[in-house]
Amino acid sequence: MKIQVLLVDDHPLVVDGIRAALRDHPEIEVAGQASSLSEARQLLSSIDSDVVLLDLRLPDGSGIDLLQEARDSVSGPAFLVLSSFLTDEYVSAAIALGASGFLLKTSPADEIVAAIKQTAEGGLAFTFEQIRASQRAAWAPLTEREHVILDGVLRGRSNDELTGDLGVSKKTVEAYLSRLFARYGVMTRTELAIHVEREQLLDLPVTARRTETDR
Amino acid sequence: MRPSFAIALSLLALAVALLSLSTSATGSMEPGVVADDVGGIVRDVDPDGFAWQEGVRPGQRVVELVRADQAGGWALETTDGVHAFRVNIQAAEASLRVTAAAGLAAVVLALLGLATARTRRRRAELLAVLGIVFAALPFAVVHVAPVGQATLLGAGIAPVVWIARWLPMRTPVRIALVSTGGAIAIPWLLHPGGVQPLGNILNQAWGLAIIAGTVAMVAVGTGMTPTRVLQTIAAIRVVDAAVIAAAAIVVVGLFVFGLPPVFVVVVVLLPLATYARARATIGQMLDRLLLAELRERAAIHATEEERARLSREIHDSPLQAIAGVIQQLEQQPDTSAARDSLRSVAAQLRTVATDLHPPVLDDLGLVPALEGVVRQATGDIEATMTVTNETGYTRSERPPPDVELAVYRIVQEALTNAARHSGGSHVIIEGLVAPTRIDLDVVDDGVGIDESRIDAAMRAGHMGVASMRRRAAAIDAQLEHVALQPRGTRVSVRWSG
Repeated sequence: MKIQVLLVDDHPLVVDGIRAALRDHPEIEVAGQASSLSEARQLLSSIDSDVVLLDLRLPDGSGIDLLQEARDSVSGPAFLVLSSFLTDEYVSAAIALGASGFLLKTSPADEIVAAIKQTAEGGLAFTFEQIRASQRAAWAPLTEREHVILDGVLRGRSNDELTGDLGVSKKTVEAYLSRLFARYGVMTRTELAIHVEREQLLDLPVTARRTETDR
Repeated sequence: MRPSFAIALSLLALAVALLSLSTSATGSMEPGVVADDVGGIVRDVDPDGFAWQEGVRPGQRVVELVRADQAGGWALETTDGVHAFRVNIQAAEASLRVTAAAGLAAVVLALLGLATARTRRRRAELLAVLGIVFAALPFAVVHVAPVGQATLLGAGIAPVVWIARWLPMRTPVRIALVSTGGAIAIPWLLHPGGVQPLGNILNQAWGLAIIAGTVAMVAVGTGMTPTRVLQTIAAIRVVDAAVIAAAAIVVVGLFVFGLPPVFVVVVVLLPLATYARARATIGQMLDRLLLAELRERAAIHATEEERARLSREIHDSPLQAIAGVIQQLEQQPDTSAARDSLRSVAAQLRTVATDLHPPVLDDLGLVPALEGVVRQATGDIEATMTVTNETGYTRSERPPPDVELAVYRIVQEALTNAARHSGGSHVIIEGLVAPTRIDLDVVDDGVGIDESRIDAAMRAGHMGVASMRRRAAAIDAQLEHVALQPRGTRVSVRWSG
């Protein structure tokens, strides 16, 4: 089964370049390409893909909006941001919004291919430096699901039990957990639990919670 | 509610007050005429009476006269040999009703204007205060109680409160000013003799001079130095001064010289005519005085637009082309050195684009953009940031773009000043950013800089602080420099949408 990739970018030179870079990798197939936010939304609803290569700056809006919309979906593709700018703030935002990786468009083709394969498996493609920088994203409000999962982790519930609590697949729970690990820069459930307890993450201010439910 | 609504409301109040004022010259219930019987002449006419307004003057011949105790009430017809003049009590009463109704409407509108000017709109409040003052004048003439008394009281105290609110002064001075103004105004109004007719305007001017003198003594006595007063006067905007001057001319013209209501129109048209005739000299001066600020703001706006456009252009064309070429080269052997060179060119272009206009500000918002500034803060000063962030990443969860950019530039400048001039070792950004409210403090631990030193810096040509002020003014935000004890400076910027 080939990895199905969607390209969301409005610059033909970049699209051609990425297509050329992926040509040597028969295990990856470009299933579709969008050059605007609206085209991307259509594509996402019509094609089942594994990974979306997403540019943040699109002619009719921001890729951030797309990440925001996809943030709470149970299934759906992994988002790999492919941007012209890369700073800690961008990485923080991408992690807070549930992206699975963040690369510059000028990155070596090998790195892009490796990131696609990694995220297609449900993994993350952030570098260690990026994850460290992402701790700045801690102020971004938690989603309802993230809150339930953190609460479960704190009460020592297993992944299987969490699967039952949320009514989602085991793979989804694992994906949520790896995102939360990345977000708080921790490696294990225990570390995550300690972090949650120490930072009182479950007692976030009401305003932050309200912002979350408004979304 | 948009802040401009308060301005519109206050302007409307002012217009209605002027309308009320223009009808009030005939609003007196007394004709103010001493005349012989039919066939004789008019002996004396009081400019405060309603007959004066209709053109009745001493020396005119009396054609018809109905005394007040006869049926139909007082009426007079005179002639100066060419024109006939008719005047009667019904017309005066009708005019009085219009005056009272319009005056009341002006008061209500002005109060609404004051109530809705909640985002610290100096101009809107000034207009509303002027509206109250103007609305009070007709009431002063015709003695309409109790609205008239209340309005007069407001007209006495509102300007004092406005001045106390907006001139930079210490709280004790503020309190002293307002209480002195109130202490003088209230007994003056409640005096058994009531309000003096405005015919005695010179007496009242004398009274006002006494009030002003007292206020000045209190102000100086409680610590307002003369320099401070001068700075304060210099800070009053040209537009504010022009509005007050025009109001004064209208009042003096209407009440002291008894000029007809059309005078108001003349006052408005005259400067325009002057402007056209003396365009070369006065025109340029007026233009500089009135439009310089506007033009500077437009220049800032144009510069920012151009920088944003260039930044975007760099992003859209060369950066994308380089990325595309790098990916094409990836497929060819022995191009590794070329690719690395291209990556370094791309990095340089990214730096240029970011310096011109930070992409993070557009893509993610004010707080992430400020985090970037703090992270890259260089020099001898260490910067940290503890800001409560109630915004999100999408546009609808953030303040408007112009507000984000202005606050970003203000904080950036404040950080630069802290690093370059304060001599401190640490600077912290703290406060709150929400979609409809920004409340940020930039606090350093260096030499204290307050508003008076900022004024001095501006006069010495420090463009940074001048542009901070203009940027704050352009988005209707408040900017303040406070020297802290024992050391340090706090730069505050507050905005509400």
